Amino acid sequence: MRDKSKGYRIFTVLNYILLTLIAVVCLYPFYYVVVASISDPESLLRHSGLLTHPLKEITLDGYRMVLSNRRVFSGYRNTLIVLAVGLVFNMVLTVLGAYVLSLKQLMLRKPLTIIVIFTMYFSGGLIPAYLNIQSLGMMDSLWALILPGAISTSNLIIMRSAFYTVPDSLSEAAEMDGANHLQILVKVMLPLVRATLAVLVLYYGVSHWNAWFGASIYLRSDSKYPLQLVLRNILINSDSQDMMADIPAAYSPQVMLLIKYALIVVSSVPILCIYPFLQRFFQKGVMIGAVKG
Amino acid sequence: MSLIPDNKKREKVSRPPLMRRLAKDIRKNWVAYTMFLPVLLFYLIFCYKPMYGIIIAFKNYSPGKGIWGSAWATNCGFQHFISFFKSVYFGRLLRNTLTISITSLLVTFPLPIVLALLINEVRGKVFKGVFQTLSYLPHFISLVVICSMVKLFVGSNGFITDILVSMGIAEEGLSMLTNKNFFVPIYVISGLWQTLGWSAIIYTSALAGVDQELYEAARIDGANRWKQTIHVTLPSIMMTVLMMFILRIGSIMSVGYEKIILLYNQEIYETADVISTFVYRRGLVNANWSYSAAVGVFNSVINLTLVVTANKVSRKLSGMGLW
Amino acid sequence: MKRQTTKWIALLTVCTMLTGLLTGCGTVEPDKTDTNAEQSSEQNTASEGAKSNAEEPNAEAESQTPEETTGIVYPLEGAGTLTWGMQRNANWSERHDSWADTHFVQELQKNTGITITMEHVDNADGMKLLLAGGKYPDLITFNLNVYYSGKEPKAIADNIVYGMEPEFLQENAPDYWAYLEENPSIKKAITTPEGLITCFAMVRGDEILKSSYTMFIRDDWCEQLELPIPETADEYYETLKAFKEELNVEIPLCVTANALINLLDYGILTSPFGIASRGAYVEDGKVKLGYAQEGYKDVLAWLNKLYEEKLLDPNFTTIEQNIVDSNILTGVSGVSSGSIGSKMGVLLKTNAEQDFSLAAVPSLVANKGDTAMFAHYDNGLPGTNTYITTDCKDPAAAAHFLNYGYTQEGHMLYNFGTEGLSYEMVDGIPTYTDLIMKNEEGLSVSQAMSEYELAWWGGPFVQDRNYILQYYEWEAQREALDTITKTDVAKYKLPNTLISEENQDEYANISSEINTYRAEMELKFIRGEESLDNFDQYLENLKNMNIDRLIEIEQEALDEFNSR
Repeated sequence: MRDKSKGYRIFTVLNYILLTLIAVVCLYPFYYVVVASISDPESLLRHSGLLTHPLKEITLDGYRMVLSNRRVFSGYRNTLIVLAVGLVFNMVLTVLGAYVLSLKQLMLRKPLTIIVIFTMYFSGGLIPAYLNIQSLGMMDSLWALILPGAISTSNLIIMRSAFYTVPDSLSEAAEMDGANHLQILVKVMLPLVRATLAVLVLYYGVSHWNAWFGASIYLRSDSKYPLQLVLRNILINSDSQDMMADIPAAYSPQVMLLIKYALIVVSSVPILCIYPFLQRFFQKGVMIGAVKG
Repeated sequence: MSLIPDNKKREKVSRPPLMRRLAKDIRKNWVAYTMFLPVLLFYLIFCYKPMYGIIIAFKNYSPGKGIWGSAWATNCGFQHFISFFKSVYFGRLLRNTLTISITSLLVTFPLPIVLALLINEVRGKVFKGVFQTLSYLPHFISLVVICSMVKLFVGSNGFITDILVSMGIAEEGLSMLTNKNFFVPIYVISGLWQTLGWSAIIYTSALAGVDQELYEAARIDGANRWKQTIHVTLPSIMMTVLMMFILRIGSIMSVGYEKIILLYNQEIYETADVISTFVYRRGLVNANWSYSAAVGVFNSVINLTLVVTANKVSRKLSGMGLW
Repeated sequence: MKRQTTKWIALLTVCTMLTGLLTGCGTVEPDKTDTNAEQSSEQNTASEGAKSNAEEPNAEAESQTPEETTGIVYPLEGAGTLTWGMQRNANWSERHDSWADTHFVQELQKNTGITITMEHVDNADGMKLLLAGGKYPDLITFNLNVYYSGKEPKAIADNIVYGMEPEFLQENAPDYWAYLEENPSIKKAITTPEGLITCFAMVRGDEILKSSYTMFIRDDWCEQLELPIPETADEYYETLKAFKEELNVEIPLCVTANALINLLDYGILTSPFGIASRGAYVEDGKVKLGYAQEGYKDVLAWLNKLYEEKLLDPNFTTIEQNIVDSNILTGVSGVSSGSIGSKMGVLLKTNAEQDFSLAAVPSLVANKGDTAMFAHYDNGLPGTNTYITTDCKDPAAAAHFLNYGYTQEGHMLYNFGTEGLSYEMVDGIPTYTDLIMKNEEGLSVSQAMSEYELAWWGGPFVQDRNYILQYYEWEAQREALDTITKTDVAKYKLPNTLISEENQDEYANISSEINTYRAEMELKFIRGEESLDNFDQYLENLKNMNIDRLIEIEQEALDEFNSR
């Protein structure tokens, strides 16, 4: 499998160099945020150019302010609840939908596909969605954050195409053995599309993690706020000066600057840890081997 | 999406009445249809039930009167569309939207694929894992922060400006964002920075699905690594690529206002003002749900038309399509 | 995350852009509001600030609501429960789930006998949707004039807000009614063309509460150069030049593009050229648009001169606010702008330890001794009004409750909180205690205020001048108030007019195009990318974009307002 030619060896070296460069460029903004979050805020304001190291004395004030907010921990809890329950709904519904739409023998496959795809382009907009949630009695409930986004149609399409890549012979063989569609899906198909499942977990997980808008309009009690909304409110309210009313901001601009960066670290580090867990699903060759073995 | 076999021929052979065929199909595949039921319910309750809201675009919506109670817009309900089309800026907005969108597509679509292929060549598992985690970091940094960094780098003392000044491209002491010609490149390249690693994930996963025996076979045939990539790797992820491409085509009109508002200034409206930013500013004059709904419908119609066309072309050329 | 973060960027942008909107909508009424306010503002002009003010025991009494023999006895007998819809605010929400848990609301409930149940939404979008949802709490505090197309009268016509007949108020909110009777201009601004009162208004009880945006200068540098604080355009120019040449100040005038627009919209830079404001204003009963006047060319030419000579920041179109702040703090720049409280106060506090002082620059004039035409000014009605909704089962009880803020007792509670706790009377002046000003638990002044009173935000009461005089902790801020409240702005300010429903779409269409065009051209003129020789072409293009119709619509609205 390995190409030992000279050309390939040169390519490999260049490839490593290039990827390392890309990694550095991609790491930089995060590095910047981390460094900024512990820098002396006044020096930070006055600093221009690339930031390479914490300025002046390291301060943890930003983190102290963020973590001392009484809603941060309930925010983590709510986000985790939404994430866990939401992912179950996401994965079950997306897999079911994608699998059925990948079945070529269904007569209704095409109309159903069109019904699904149409929703990517047309929606009723915010107001009817809101009225809908209201009439379903889901106001001020975490269900309002879970159910309306249970399926992302583009993710469903990604999933469906993964099912297409599985050779027909496998499912046909299972059908011969008398397995029904559900059994085929669970026993034959799912192990074969693990990489795509992992991608969807990542996509859905990150979107749950980052979501705040739904929460901001559907929730009334802040004890139910997810983390991103809590953090966003700290930021917005510390940042916005209502020019019309000259309403005082809650924090000084220096602390605010630290808060801004500390927030990003606090809100993104946990979700960054998800990738290493999923990484093994992206290893090559696992699937075919798994089936044949 | 993928190879969808042509069912038509088979249908033509046997021609019992439609309803009977359908009944038979449902009886035979009742498990599959039952499995789809919750999915269908989801779409009906959360997508189709609220879809009547589209008519807001054809009304003068007023929250107190509700969607049904609001009066119809003049000109058979098309007033908001007409005022949008008749705007002096309509042409410029459309042009800028398409320029930004298509340039982004040309740059940020292929490069993640290339990146995924490059990652695919890496043997070291640790390097690979670390690289992938790092490469999608910018995706998690808020747009405000990314944009303020961009503004710093291309600002009057920014290091990118300095480099370009020494090459005689940029003007000294001035932010590059005051020059209308730099806006699209800045927008696209910063977009690439933010999405490159994240967008590559889907291709990385597709590459994981490539049957390793195919490489084995190609190697035995004497194909070197480059040829293996051309003849084995690319065709196996082509399906994913094509599908992602069609999806992207279907969002050409959707250039969000958020990032543009963070980067642009009034002086470079000529290249930077897009449909969404214009609508956003109009909303500040008069919070009008109906107007923005009308523009939304306009965008959706174009997007849908594009995606239908792309799908058709794709089915014709490769036999693959979204439906 | 992209979507998430970008949404709040949008919000932030809205905040900054609201300033532009302020002039655009002309949410302001022209007449001198009330005699009380006028008198007290004169007193304030004479005085040097809070301290000297404190020596005038009657200053406080004057800005208060008139004492009437009230027909309503608090606490109310057998009073029930009211639900109240309001946005969450970080000043208190970091400590309480609900605003009802603050000491202030506890007191309010005790004093009025009404039990309050809050219904909080997170942001303005949430409130807009709540209105669209068709089920309203009994009371709502929100700015319908900004967030509801068609403003308050439309909200009544749409059956959201309960429009109040004068008789209803007379009977159920006698103190509020008496206040309105004494202040006809306030009453007019909240009366619909049909004669209904829309709301229990948040009212600025004094002229000094109506202005807060200013340009400020390093007056210690002026002193060093033996220059006065500039009053005329020429003096201003000379001062900037002196900063540059004698003190080697890199960017004498550093502002963001939005701030520069504010300075033009608030007329701080336009009076010397015979134009009240860049936006809409009234002259001899006619609506005028500053940016469409011949004289606007001179404004732009003057700014172009500042730009060419590098007195104005060459990068003002792209610079970010935090860099602007850092420039003024570090002596890179000498003049900037912002609100007296949230900008000037914060800058002064940040550099308190250093050789650093700021003073407000008055709205510039052509010749020394002239009175400037314009300044930042709200008509005394900032907009955070409280409405009784149509879902309220007992509007009379709601009115009884809301009337409380306009009684003597309620006035003190809403503005200063609880006597002996959050304030004490010192020489007849309600003075915040250390609980507010130097909170031991580390609460900032605004956070502490949010615990005990409501003057920091807005509600159904008349805001007291002694609030702002104490909230402005620095002498320089109080002097700034003095400086910026000496203009003819009340004469030129467009009142809170109402664009008629049939004109609204046309108005929005024309103005969004014109705003795009003029914003683009203005900056090009200032930066010299477009020669001012083309100014006539610019006016011509505005005509082609139907600016005359725009003015006509605004004029119609003004005439309608005047005829009420």
